[in-house]
Amino acid sequence: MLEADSIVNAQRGFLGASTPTMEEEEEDEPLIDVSQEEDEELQGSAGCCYPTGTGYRFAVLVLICLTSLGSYFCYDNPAALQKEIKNDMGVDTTTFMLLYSLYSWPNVVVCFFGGFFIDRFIGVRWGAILFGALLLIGHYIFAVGAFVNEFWVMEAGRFIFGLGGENLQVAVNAYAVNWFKGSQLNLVMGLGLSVSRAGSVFNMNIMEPIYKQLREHYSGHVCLGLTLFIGGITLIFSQYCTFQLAWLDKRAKRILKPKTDLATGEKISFKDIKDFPISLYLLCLICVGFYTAIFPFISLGLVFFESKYELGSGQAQILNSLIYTISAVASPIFGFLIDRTGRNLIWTNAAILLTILGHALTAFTFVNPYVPVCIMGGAYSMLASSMWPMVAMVVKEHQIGTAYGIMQAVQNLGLAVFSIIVGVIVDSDGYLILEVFFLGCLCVALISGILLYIFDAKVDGMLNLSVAQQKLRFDRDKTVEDTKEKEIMT
Amino acid sequence: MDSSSRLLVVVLGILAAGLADATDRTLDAYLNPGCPTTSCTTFGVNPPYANNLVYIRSEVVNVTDAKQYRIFWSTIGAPTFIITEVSPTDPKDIQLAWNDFLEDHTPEGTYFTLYGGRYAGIEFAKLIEYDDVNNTGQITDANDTRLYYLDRNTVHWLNVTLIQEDDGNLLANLTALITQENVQFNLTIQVRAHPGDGRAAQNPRMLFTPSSVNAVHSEDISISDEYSPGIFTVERVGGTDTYVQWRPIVYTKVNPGVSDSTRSHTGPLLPINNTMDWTNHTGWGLPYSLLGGLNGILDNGTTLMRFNVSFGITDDDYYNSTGFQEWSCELGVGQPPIDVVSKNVKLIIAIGFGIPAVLIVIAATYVGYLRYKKRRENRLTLLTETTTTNYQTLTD
Repeated sequence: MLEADSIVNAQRGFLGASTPTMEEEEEDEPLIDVSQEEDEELQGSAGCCYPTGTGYRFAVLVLICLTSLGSYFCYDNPAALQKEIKNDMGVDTTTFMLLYSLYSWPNVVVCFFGGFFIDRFIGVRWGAILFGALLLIGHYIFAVGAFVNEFWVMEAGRFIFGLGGENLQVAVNAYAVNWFKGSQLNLVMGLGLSVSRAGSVFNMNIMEPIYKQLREHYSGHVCLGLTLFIGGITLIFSQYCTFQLAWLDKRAKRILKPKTDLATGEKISFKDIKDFPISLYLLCLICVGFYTAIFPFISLGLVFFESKYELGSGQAQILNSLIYTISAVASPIFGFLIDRTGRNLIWTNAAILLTILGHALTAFTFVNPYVPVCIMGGAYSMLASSMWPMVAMVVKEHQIGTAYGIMQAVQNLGLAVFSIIVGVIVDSDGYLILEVFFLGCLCVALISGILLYIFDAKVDGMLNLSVAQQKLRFDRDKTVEDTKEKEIMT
Repeated sequence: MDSSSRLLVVVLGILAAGLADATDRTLDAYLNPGCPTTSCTTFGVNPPYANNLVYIRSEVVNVTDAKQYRIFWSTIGAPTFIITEVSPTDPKDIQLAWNDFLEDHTPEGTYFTLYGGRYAGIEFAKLIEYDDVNNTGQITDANDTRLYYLDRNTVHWLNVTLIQEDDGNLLANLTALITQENVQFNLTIQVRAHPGDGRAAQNPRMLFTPSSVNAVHSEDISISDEYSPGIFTVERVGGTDTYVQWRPIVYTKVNPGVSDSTRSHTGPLLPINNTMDWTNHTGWGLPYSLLGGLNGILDNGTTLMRFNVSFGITDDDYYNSTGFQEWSCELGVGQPPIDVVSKNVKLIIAIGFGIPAVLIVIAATYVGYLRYKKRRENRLTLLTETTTTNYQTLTD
């Protein structure tokens, strides 16, 4: 349950989406003033300080990744300090798990509205800053709760943390789509997953040593509170990144304003949601089906590996974390490959098929468990890098935040419900039936992927185009837009 | 350490079916058949403590050559459970010298005769309790253990409760109070005889069918834990056609889930001789029990082995935190039943893989058709444009 929840949100970074509401009225107010002289000086140049330059885009990429780092780090603080929290706060496992439930369940709804809120009202820059601030405040309330030995305060803190967590990822993904759509979006998504995994692993390895170090001077809940205060430093850093990102984005908008001023004039409304293409909902089904077979599997994997393969707890732990470890390395690689080949839908369906193979090997054979786990780790990276960018291909630009929000909401709902169901299945029917259940979920994902393949072919969509074909399509669309723009100007 | 609230439950299945349809086999139970002495119904200083010997005839009616079985559940001395196959044409009943067995008992005496063929038996001779201070699941200090001999001085059995269950199983609840050095705890052995093929209703839901020799301890690993969640292994001690088998799991709660369990560990098989000191409980002979009084038990044709099964593993906190543990095993003659993947699972897998496979074929065909159609349309458009151009050229 714990692990599953952590994964639910581990995905946040990628799933979230964002919307290119750079033209929002509020965002026209300068966040940080950039002098007109500087603008003029930069215009026409193509150096590293010019927004379309490699250096500038690289800086944005780094900031996008770092913005989510703190969120992932602090999200799993309770898991890293599970024993300490239970001992120092005197709570049992069920009460402890509330710290995750209070994050997850509200997000079934909240991230949908968060995406819409960003699309419709505040835009991506203020969205990132606002939701980042909620994370920061929520985490420090959580830490204060521990410090003063009040568990309900900790719970309140986690709830506020959850209000920001998912939505920050929506904003971060909005930045990613705004800056990298049509070029290296798959790679950026892959890198985001990689950094988030690194944040989780970093947290798991560092928080307990910090606690132990502090315990030499402090004890009990005070020590716990101070440890959480220190963990919150990553969020302060991430919040700084949201300001930096906003500044770079604002500056880019100013410099590039003449070229983009008329590009987006539409705003999303609730009516638009009913007109979302069926492709989006098929993507939601893929998302739920696939992640149900990954995250709950990891959360229950430790005992499974110990039972079926008779591994020691240390080795089972290594095996169980291997999917994440592989994803931290493989996601950018797959992102890069998908950027070179296109055909995201084929990659996604291949990832589902590979995961089916991995689970089938785990369920019906005694093949060395490292084989199926490595297959699943690779497939997980492949899917994360290929599926999330497809959302940006099936909805209009001003709907991207809401679309990602819907997808995340459905994913959160699916994982929250299925995490409970898989626990019941294991207790009553064992791991073989659980594996069969996972295979069933993957079959649903595969069926959705195949239907999406048919649908995309029928409507002449972009999901399965090669890079060259995508470029032709972008150029064609741009020509149409330019023509419209000229007509309006005339 | 006050152990009064602790409870150990051993669930034992006695298997005696399989060659006949379940509905054809009957289980007729008798309590202390032919016992002429009042010692059978009252034993010890506080009635209703009693000696219990449940005798069951497992027979197939209307089939002349079907196998017949005799089953014995005894709490006279160490609790003992025996199943034997008898000739279908000359099925004989129990012969037990009750008076000698109960009152004039000597270690070397034989009081009980089994007729017929092969038999399998299991006896629980002692319980060892240790304080697992380091939570390692292992005895770290041999001096810090309590040894409970399941003999007539330590264990006081209540009157057995026999229940005929709806599915035809015969259930006996054998409950005892164990008292030694001011420590008391409860021991319950639930034992079932099954009239046919099937599966136990409680976890681990072991498969049963009916049923010498160099006994061996073996482990079978299966891909299925469908009927014993979290446990893929079956441990077995047996010869060519008798066996005792169990899943290496110990439940720490009534109606348990996977998390309410810990593992059992089986020690090596060791020989038994008849050098036991009955007064001081030294040596590794057969204690006072139905098995110990069995005629021919120490003959060369019989294989006797002893082994320890320990409950708990490192860091499981299992005993002190729950005060309850339940371990199950089954005993039978014939080939042990082996779990396989159920038909339902196979059906689900076939459907689960079948639908996407069919869809993949349909999708590939459909998309191929769309591409062909599009290419054809493009070609026609090109042809039309060319023709028009040529026509125009001609008219110009």
